Amino acid sequence: MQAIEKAFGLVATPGVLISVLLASAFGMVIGAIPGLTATMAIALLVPITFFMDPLPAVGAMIACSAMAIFAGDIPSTLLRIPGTPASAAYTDEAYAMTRKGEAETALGANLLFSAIGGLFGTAVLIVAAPALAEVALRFSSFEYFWLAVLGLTCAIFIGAVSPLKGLISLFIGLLVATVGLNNPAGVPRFTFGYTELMGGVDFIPAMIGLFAVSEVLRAMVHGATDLKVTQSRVGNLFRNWGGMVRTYWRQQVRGNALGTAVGILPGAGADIAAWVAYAMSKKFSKTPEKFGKGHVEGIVESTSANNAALGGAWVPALVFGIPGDSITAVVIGVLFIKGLNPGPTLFINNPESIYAVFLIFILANLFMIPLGWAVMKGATVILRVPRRVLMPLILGFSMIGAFAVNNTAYGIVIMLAFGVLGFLMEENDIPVAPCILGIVLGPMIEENFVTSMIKSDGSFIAFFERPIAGVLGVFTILVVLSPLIGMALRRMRRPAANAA
Amino acid sequence: MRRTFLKTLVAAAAAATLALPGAALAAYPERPITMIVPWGAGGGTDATARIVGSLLEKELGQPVNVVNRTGGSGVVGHAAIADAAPDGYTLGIITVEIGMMHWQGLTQLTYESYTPLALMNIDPAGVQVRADAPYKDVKELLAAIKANPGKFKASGTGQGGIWHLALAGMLAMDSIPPNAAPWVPSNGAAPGLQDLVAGGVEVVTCSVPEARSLIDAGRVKSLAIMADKRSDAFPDLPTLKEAAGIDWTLGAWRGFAAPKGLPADIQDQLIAALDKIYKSAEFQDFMKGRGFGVSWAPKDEFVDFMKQSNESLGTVMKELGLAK
Amino acid sequence: MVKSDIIIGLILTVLGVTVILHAQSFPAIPGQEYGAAVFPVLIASALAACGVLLAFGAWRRRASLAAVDVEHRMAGITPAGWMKGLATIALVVAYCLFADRIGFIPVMAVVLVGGMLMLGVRWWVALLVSAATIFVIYQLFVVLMRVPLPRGLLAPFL
Repeated sequence: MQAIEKAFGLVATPGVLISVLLASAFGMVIGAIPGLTATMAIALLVPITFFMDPLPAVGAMIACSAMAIFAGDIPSTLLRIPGTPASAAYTDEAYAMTRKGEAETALGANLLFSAIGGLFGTAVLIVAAPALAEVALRFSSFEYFWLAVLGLTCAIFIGAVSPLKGLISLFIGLLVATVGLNNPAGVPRFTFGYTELMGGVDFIPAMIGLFAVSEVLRAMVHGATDLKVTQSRVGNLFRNWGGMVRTYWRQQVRGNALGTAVGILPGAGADIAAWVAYAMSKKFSKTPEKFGKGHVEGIVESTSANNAALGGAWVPALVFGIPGDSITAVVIGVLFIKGLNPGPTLFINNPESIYAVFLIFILANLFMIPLGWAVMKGATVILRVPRRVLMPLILGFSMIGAFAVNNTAYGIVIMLAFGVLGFLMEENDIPVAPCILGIVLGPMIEENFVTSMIKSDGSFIAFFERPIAGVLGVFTILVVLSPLIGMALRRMRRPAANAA
Repeated sequence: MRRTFLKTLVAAAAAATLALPGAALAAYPERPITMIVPWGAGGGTDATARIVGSLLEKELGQPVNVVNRTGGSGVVGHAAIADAAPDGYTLGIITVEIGMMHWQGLTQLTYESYTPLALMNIDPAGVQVRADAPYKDVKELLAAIKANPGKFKASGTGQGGIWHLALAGMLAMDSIPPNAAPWVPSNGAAPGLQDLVAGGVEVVTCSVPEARSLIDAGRVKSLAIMADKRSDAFPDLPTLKEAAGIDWTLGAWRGFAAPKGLPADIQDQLIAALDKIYKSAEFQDFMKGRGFGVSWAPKDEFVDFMKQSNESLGTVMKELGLAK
Repeated sequence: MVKSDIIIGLILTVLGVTVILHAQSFPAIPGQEYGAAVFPVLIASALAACGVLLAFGAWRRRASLAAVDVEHRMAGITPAGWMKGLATIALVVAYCLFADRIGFIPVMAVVLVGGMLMLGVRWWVALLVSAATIFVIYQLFVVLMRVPLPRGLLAPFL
């Protein structure tokens, strides 16, 4: 207990509080700008933190990443440009709410449940870090293969009018993911001799293209008529929040738990957490038909999940120095420089600094509410801008964002190509979201499959031999087969019904 | 008409509203410098480039923008450095892969495609196994691999990556065929180590600093490093020669370079600045904090170093059948 | 929607088959049983299969639904609409080609103003909004984030 008291003393200094606040504001801005991710915001902080004391340095990184993941929801809701990849899963849903005049409700839900999700992830981190890290460390390529396949099944549940068209979109994404040199064989595929293509298709420009540029093209081609609806005011913010918490407490708890769990696994972070949470929300919803048409339920679950994943990612990072996601990968480097070497010893030798880190987590998630509220209020001004002015601006920001990902015009080319692709797909009722999912999960599936086969000397049984892998495998196969089984049952029943 | 008008207007607006630096200085550098990193944000190369970048900024009095150009196992970023204008405003950090990619037929680029500035870091490969593994030293591990060809799987980086060569070279020097320990490609050292702990692979030949936190956590032990002499950071760790009598050294290195054709005066100015940075407490503390090895070789020494590295890597890659 | 589904189905099938044929040129990897070609071939086969299913399904529906087929959304696009769409693409391509030499500020201004004029925004509004946007982009990306946007002709001033 003495350590906790000490920790309070460490945190409650002007230096720590100011750096947390400044980093929060910085993260908020970066996260809200398309193309700039939470990881980039953190990487930019590295040279600055080098000249800071350990605690303010770590505090700045925590605050910055939490804000960036939340802020990604703002352009995603208002402009259909996911600010960070973690928002992509529910971009369409949130944008549909904006089209219905419920932008403020969507943003309010994003803010509230991001903060709660973040706090939940922190709570898990505090209570169970060492024990959970132990479980996560047992995951080898066999387990990850099943997880990735399970992730793919999300494509079936995320908003396709026809499952066949959802699958087409998914396979296009998977195929795109095979481009480049970054495959287990280390062989250039579909590069046609271009150096830039060796890097593959960076999925952030692709994402910006599929969501934002396709929307711009649609406006250009069909005419940019303004949204007919006026945005309804949320009124008393906190009363509305109370309603959402009551109505959707199940979704929220599930999103929190799932997000934290995905975050703890090394190699899967906030992005994947949001996808899986959204799909799960639809699967278990009493009103799945409302999904994709501007329904807050799925947003609640997935926005909770991506922020909860941030806390979860710190579990293996602090306990073993294994990054849970790309953000913690940067943070681990900083911890080393600051002499806070991650590892079990950190908890024994330096408990007060660990508690101080936890306190900053809590603080950052509490700061999120007033700061996020201010940014949201400012951002909704965008909705009053006529769409014929707004659309070219979206194009401009998308271009700069696509460039900034890797500082090359190649990013803009990818963005444009996927913008055209997305436009053609959506004009033909093929959803774009599964395509993004395919680009994200494709490399994970291939890598884990190939490495597993090398390890098992080509035996498929190995995918079920390890206990965790076996359970995951059977579960995944059941989930994959469940729509087929359902379809078969209906087929069998239908002739009977017709006859009657 | 409209466009000229527009351009003037925008230029005027830009000139009026954007905070401009003072009048242009005659001497280099008179505007911000871009430093290209061929690897992603968060990795060791990125961290090294960023710390040197921020110190270089102080040294030269101009902002140094560190930008990541990732992809294609480093090919994309290395090409971007080589293709930039040799005016001193684009620099880059080049890594050991420059001596590997051309052997694989991925690019025409070699160490000769750059104006060398200075080598600043070398991290030798280490041999890591699970902490509860039954072998005391490398000798026992190698004997076990020899006795059970194909049973022991190794990992640490992608197929044909630097740590893959480290393993293959070590095996070859002990006259064990390279396929006796099949390589499991991974996305860098961290996933490889995670797989080691999870029981997916038995050996990881990455650099020791990359494995340090798991070593500290008592999950992984390092048996030897592939260097001429022991490392300052890990003095208890024997070299491969001491432990098993195998004369094989290999390490990942990082150095700074500019596009080919950089004027000699700018080259000297940059090398002088890097020299100062190398000797600074900030740089030394930073590298020590991360557990990275420091090593200094400017200009021609750097070229000799790269030449030697290039040839020895080529030899191993040909033996492995990785070279084209 | 029937006709377009058949066309898309056929395109996907052709794409899938092309990829499968191209993937045959990928080398086998010593020590890896499943080489570089396995996954692309697997995915391309699935894509081609989906294409066949889509085209076949639409073909079967054709008989029953021909009279009440939903009109395709793209059928409503006017020639002017198509031109604007192509012009937008051209603007982005132009940016990629010329931004390096001329600099991002003038070329981005052309993209923004051009886009707004196409959508019927008055010219002075377009100019003012573009100038303000470029200022914001400059502050956020160049000043705050240090993204090396091409300076081009304006290099002496920036």
